[in-house]
Amino acid sequence: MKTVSLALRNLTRNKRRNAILAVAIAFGFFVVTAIDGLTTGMVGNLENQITQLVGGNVIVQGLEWLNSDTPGGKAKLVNIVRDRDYARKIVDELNINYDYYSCFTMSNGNAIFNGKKSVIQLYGRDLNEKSLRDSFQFTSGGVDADMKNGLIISDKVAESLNLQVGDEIIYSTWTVYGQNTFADMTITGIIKSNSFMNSMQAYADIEDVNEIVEMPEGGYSMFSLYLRDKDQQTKAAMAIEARIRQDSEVNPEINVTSRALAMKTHPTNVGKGLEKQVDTKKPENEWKGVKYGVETLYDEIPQIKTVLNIVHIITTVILIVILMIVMVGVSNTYRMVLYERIREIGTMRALGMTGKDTRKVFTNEAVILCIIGALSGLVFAALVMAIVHCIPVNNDALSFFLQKGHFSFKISIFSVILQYVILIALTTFAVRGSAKQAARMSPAEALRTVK
Amino acid sequence: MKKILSFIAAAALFTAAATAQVSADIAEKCYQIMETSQDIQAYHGDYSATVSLVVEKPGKPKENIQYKWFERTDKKLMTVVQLFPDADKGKGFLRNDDNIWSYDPISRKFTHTSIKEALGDSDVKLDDLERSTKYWRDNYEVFSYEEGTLGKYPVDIIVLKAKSKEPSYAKTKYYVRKDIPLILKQEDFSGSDRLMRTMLVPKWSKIEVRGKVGYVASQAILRDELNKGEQTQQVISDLTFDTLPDKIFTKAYLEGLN
Repeated sequence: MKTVSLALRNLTRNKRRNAILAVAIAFGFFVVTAIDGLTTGMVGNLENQITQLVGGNVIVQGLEWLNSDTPGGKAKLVNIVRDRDYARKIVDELNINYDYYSCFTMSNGNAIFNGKKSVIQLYGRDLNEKSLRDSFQFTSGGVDADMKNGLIISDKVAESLNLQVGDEIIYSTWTVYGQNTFADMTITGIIKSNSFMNSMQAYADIEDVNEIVEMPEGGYSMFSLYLRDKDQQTKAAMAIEARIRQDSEVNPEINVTSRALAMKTHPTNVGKGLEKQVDTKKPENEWKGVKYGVETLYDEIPQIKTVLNIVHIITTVILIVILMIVMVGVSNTYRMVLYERIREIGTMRALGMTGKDTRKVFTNEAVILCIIGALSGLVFAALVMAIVHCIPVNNDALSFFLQKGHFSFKISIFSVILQYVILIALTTFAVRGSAKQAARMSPAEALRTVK
Repeated sequence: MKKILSFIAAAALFTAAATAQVSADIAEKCYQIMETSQDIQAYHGDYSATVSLVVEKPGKPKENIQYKWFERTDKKLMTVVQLFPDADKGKGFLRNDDNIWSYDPISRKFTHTSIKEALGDSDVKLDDLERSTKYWRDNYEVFSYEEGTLGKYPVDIIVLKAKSKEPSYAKTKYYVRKDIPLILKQEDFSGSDRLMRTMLVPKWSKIEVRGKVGYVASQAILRDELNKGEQTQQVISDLTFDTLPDKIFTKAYLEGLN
């Protein structure tokens, strides 16, 4: 404790030199924290947008194998879940911790109005669902659950087609069996879109969409689960799959894909491995009834996790490089400090201070200085991030990476702790030589030294 | 009473029209017409052609696109190289059965896709390209048949209704020339009987291929009826039926062009 207070007192002796050193460390920490926070935030926002687009981070799809009516024709897959409650019951039975779930029918197509076309992704949802209604930010109109073929579109689509609430459009799409079809739809609401991805999203009542795409009554195309802890997605998917497998043992009309097999065949892209298990080109894959495919967002887009890991590795390397440069400065500074305080060290040693304590005073002084610098860098980074977050960004190219039109920052506590551990280790190493020299110094020799 | 009877008669007529079916003889005749219309086309074996497309969209300037097209129909092999516009020159597609690779000359990379994905949002549909001789019998039932005229030509007007999930449209109306069974017009309808797409073939060319006379649609117009004003005009030129070297249907061929 005594060595710590001595170290603190020493820090106040040459304020300008220590301040410059602390600023250098603070700058290094600021750069690393800001880059790490910004890139993690951007990748996180991209992930959130994709999650929103598919409706969740764990997805259960129902696939039916449809053989061709033509001899020699090719089999195809039809995306239908006929039992609307099946997946939900399983999720509740397994006590999975989720924010919300949704059953929806998804359809891609073109909205056509006055000779103009715009691609939309139409989600057939229960428009009375509270969480869905709460998520809509209407710029005009609203939900009209009673209107047949009522459509909610984004402001971007409305702008590109010059649409207003009450306008009738043609929605051209395909049935679940792949046949071309269309529907006349009426705009009931226009919602604000914050990114490129959700600008394509449109919503209509699930029963209306089912009728348009010829989905059997009560069916849907996808069940998605939005987990509270997204790191639990693989565990949740495995549990759901295992539970469906139990049912498949007693009911031959229920089948399920195997994630374990997909991990074996395609370790870096589980989604691709699952896709291969339902490949209609292989007749041995054929099944009767429904085959459930349980996937996670990371299965479908494994690149997200890879990008996040790369970002952390790059920022850690940058931090180490910056710290190495700073540590050269720290090392040189403490060599000078040792020279300046040589008689003082001699006096303290003569008064009974041990070599170990002398080393501790040097090391503690340097570590405290670095921690102060790092903390200042962290605070400064937090301040800059907060300011940047408040600036609205109106750039479509960047919209994938923004959160409601703003940059967002995400700092991992684990990363910060790791950065501090690296800092302390490097500082200790940098002053080790000077501290060791001070500890070995004979008091008489030190007192005899003339500067 | 008279009112009730006339209502019943009208309802009966309406029901009959809605479920119109032709006799077995007429149906057989229609299938034969459609099969012959397929058979008399010259596209058998190897051929190459220059395909020019003029894409018109409402409120947008006309877009010209040109491709060199190589095909070996019996093995489902196809190579397409884009010639125009200059910005996309050298882009290509390679087809081997159901697999399609698109080629980007700038990155010199191939991207795999399926034929269904490759056709994507274009007005061309999968069953426009994939038709076996028995395609009509296996996938359609004859809904109605009548005789009429289209321009100066007497035609058979055949309405086919999809009975399988294969066809891209629920119902299709064909106008087939009586003297030579060539399809002059095709109208595709949705399940609710709304016209979705029209294809016009105003120009057929007669050519002799390997001692057999065949016909080629040298000009065709595809019209999107849901988006009025949107149409694609296709003109075929430089058509040859010489045997093509195997190397044309390889990735190396596309790479070697640039």
